[in-house]
Amino acid sequence: MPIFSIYITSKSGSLLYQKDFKVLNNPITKQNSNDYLVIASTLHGVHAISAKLTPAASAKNYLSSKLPTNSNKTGLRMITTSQFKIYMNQTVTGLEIILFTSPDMGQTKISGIYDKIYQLYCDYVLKNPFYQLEMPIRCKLFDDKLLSVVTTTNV
Amino acid sequence: MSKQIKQLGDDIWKTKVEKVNSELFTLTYGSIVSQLCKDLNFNYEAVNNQLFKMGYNIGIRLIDEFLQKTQLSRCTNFRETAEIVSKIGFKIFLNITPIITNWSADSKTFSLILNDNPLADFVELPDDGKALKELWYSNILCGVLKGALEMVQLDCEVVFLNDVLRGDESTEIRVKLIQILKDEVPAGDE
Repeated sequence: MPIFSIYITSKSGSLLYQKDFKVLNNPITKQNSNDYLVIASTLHGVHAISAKLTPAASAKNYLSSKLPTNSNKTGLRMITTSQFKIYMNQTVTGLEIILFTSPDMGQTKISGIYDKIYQLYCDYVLKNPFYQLEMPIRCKLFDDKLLSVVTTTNV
Repeated sequence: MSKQIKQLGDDIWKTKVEKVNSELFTLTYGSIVSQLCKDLNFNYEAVNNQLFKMGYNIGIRLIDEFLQKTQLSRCTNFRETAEIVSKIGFKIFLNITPIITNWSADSKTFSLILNDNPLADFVELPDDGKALKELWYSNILCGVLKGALEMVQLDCEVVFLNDVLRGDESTEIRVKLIQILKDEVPAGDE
């Protein structure tokens, strides 16, 4: 169940971080950096639209579906194609973590991965005193740790 | 509900939080404040502001760590927020649980009474005639609260009312909800 790519966007939808991982038989081709921005902001937009379509009250009934983090109640969570899946999750502060994975990736497993990535973001991005909020993430430590999390999953 | 919150705070404190020597922590904070006082020529008003700003910058980052560790979602009302700030927030970061009291009638303002303030363990304010009246030694806490609450769209005013360091009977932080920043609630999380 490999992870192909990760995107992290801020609450305003700007792309903070993007990385493609080296995976055997990766169905997703490399894009240029402008396309990454387009993909991220489009997904952010669709997420926001889907949230607007569902009034808050209906979200409450639907809440029985189990997600460990209670955020992202009404927004877009997943897109499936025959080749890959896109999982989205949003934290209470509005940070969105978007993962492109193989189609056999399950909801439970992805929740665990989200939690780990969020933890890495807190530790190695937010606690880096020289990182400025809402700016692109260029932290070597974050890169390394993220890679090791993904490598463990992709094995 | 209140018990569950307390339990959650205790569990996280025991299992998920890195601990640091409390004296190192207290002395580090002390040296920051005293250096600020020197740098700003003992203009305590300016020191208060500077501490608040530093706290604010900590708060807007710390909130994500808090949410990641607690896995909590948005509070349903401000009373719940108060409980969580005291029993989980203060608990996991400072290992204290301030008492929540003095609710205003509209449930928008409350006080946190800190019986034990780890920032001020060995502190006596300088005897220069104005520090006792002007300096809020632990003002960084107000900034942290302000920053953290603002990131979850609660625009609050956070100020010290009393401090035992000044000779008051208790250490009291007043938190007032000004507004909920509706426009900034992230889509998909209402």
